[in-house]
Amino acid sequence: MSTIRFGRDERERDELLGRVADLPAGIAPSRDLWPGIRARIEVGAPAENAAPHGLSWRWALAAAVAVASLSVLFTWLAMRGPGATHGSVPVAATQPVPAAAVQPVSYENYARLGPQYAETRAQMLTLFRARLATLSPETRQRVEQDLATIQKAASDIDAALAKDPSSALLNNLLVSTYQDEMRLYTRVTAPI
Amino acid sequence: MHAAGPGEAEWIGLARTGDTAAFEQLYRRHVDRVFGLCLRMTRDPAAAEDLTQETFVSAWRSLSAFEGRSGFGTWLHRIAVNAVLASRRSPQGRGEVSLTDDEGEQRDLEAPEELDAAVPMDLERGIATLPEGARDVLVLYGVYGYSHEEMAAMLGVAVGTCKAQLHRARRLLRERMNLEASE
Repeated sequence: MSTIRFGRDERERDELLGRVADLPAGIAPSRDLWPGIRARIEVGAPAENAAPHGLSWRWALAAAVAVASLSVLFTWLAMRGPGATHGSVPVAATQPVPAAAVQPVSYENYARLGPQYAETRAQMLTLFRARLATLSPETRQRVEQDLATIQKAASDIDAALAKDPSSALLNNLLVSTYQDEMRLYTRVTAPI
Repeated sequence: MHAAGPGEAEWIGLARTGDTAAFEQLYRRHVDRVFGLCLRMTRDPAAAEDLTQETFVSAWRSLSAFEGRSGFGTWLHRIAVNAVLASRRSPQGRGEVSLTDDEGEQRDLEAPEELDAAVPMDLERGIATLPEGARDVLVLYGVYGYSHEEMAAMLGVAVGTCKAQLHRARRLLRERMNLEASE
């Protein structure tokens, strides 16, 4: 690794930085983390989890950008378009398809979604499905297309992260898909 | 930073073929440095353990992308920094307590008692009380020896931001440790 002269000089001449540099770089965790890691990696060899050949993170970027605009704009317009119906419409009267058929976004390998987020999302999903069932088929189709677009972006970003897990941009984009999904649920469930 | 030691290149090659025993050797060699970085960035041992695991799982999945242009330890650190940054931005967050209020005034904070007792606690405590951005830069620069350019790439900020954060970190750390400026 290269260390520029400016930094080295600064570390040498600053007594406080020198003391910081003397701190041990390694700190042992309180427990052996390997069993947990092994349990997760034995699901598949590295090559099996690698991104498909030729997949570029730029595609993920393009997909995520599309998500940001689609999930906000389309849903917003659809919910207010002439085909939209309102919450007072009975579910059974407008929605023959079981709400459970609509699945949340699956984030695969690189997601860092904790139990608190999962719980919140599950609650939002329940409301989302109930509300979705009250919408016109046209509006519902648009919403489901948005959800599919977010899913595609999440999958593309996940695959791109397999090739470049240290990419700050890709990690940010992945986080943006969490936000897009929740934003979609919020848009759909919000009172009109 | 951490040069490939004896056997490391071989372990990497074997791990790429799916050899988890070889990857365990890599884990054993680097886990303390990865955990140390995560702990200093998060100040939360449980979160640091989770993020250390995430780092190694991500590294395993991406071994084919490791080109060896940097050391394996540096590559792991990049993944770890991204894991920490992503966890801060994630919907559930990590619940890190801001050390400054909305007006930038310092809040009281107890020292992270979980740090290794062998580590000089005064200095570690001082670092732990720094605001997030300043702490990140001081840890990466001071403890792990990265350059401003390397830190900027890791943190996704400008080089000038890193330099400003380092200056801020040094000033705050001196104040909190009641040290005279040595510049």
